[in-house]
Amino acid sequence: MKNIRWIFFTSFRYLRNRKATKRIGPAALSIAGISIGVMALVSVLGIMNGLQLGFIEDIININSFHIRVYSNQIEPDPDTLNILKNIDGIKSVLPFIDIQTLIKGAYSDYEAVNIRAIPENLGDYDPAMANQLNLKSGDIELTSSNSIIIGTQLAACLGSNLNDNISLVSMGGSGFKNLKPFDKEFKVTGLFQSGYYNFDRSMGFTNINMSRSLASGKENVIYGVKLENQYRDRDIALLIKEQLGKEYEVVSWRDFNSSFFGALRTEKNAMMLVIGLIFVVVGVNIKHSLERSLVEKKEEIAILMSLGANPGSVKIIFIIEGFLIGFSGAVSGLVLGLLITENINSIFSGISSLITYIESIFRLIFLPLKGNSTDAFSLFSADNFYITELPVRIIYSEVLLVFLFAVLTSTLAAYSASEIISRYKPSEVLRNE
Amino acid sequence: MSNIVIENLYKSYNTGTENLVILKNLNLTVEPNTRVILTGSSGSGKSTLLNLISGMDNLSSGKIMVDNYNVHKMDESALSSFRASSIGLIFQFHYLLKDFTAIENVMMPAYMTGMPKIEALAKARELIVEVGLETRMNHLPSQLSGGEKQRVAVVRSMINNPGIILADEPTGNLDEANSRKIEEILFELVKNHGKTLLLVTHDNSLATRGDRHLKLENGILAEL
Repeated sequence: MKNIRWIFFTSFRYLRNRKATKRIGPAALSIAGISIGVMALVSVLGIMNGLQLGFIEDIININSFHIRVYSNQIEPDPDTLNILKNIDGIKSVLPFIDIQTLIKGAYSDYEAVNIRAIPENLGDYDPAMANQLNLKSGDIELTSSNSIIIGTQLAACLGSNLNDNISLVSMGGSGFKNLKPFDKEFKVTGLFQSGYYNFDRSMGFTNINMSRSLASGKENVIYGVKLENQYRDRDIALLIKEQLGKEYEVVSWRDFNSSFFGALRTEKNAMMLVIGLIFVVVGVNIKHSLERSLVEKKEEIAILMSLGANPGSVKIIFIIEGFLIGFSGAVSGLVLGLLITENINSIFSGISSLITYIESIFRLIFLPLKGNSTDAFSLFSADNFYITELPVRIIYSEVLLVFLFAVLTSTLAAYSASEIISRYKPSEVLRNE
Repeated sequence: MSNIVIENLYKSYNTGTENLVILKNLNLTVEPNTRVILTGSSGSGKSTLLNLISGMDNLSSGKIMVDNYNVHKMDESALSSFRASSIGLIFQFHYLLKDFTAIENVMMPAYMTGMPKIEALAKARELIVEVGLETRMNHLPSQLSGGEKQRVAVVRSMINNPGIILADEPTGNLDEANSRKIEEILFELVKNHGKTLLLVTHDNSLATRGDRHLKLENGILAEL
């Protein structure tokens, strides 16, 4: 389009002169609206991704794996292990047995616990899981047959600490009627804190060599498979089925956690939708602001048309203005949003300090004799919340989507507003001016 | 060489209660390089006729040919191009773009047709110098006097070298001295650049300056 240059020239001149004449009110409000919308959405998505992906990674790395292969074996089979390890796309395979039993500390009552019997050297079999467990103290290796690693929350509940002895209940005796519970002593050799409360509160890890002494005999070996690319789970599950045969049940992480992950996705979509409504409000605001500008510039538009500008070109002048409003708002919102997201914990810490400071002033004024309280206010106090810091994860493809959506909203609003130009008849406008 | 041929032109407005006929079976041929002065009382349809010739208003029936273009058979885009290249419009009010300087106002029609900005500015400068506004070319319309604004509007109408200039009471808003100045400039430019001029005015003294004098009364055109 050879004559697009005059359109840009005119559009930029109108924007520049708005500034020069300090008539930036509606445009500034529109830019601020877009900016707030983008900032809110980027921040909320960053925090929500941090929380949700934290949960998802805990669940996948510790519990569901990318693929679970259920076998009929009572002990890990090296051949099965080899077949799985040799399948293209599989990163690691961990054989384990899950046993539901009771646990008891020296001074506590029995607590229900899920004991996962794993090979001695977890780090070699599944480094991602070893990492995700986030060992707080002790050793991840289950070198001794009576070693046990438990979650920090479970340890707190049992009143136990590292190197303390705890008991697990084992059922012994011949036949169902003669089954009797026996306590088996274990030594706590590690304490983990994955960040996922359920795991930290009700999981323990023992050496797989000890599993027979705890198991009822009905628990079979499960192979926990981790993939190079977790989204290839369905293809690789089919390959595993082909290579291992029908006696193995293969469950992918999506099926294993479908309800929980589905709920997380619904939560995120709902949040995006609610915050996205800001853009609708801002879009309507931009449309009205530009419509007003078009009415104010009616005469100028008619002059341009009388000079030979076609209505389409004049529309583009104002669409560019809408685009620039959206672009400016989206850029500033993006920068603010990313800054807030990256520094959210410092911001909360600052707010906590400020509240503590204000509180201390009030104390000084209203309770001078009681002295200063030593308790500092915290938005995420460990007394009330399991997490004391907000995890943040920025997914740049989502950020880009938010950015584009904001620019698109503004441009569409401008396009919609510019439709008014089609109704202008230069001869009538100039006659009436 | 640009000419205008109008055949059986009717223009009426529907006011809601009645059909108001403005132009009745109007026929006119304007030869190239002719200066036609059109007079008539207020509301006689003079401005409407100019708007119809430039395609800014729709006719009720009839045909208007300008440079062999059937003006009212063109689509929106073709009509805009035609207006930009074949017609120069001058109004009673200057109608300059407020956000642009005098020289930018003059170059705008050329820039719109795709002429590079530097070239359009050079051409605009030439025309502005021709009407003695070289010291005012970088001023905004708000910084120019009424006469200066109208001089800018006159040269703006010529930037694309159109064959026809349609001037609708170009001196109607000016004092006597400025009116004479604009008249001189307009007729001088039309003569020097070889244009066809159709000028609407209330000023009967101007009639003597044209090659033809037409009068429009009650929608009917008469040659005087």
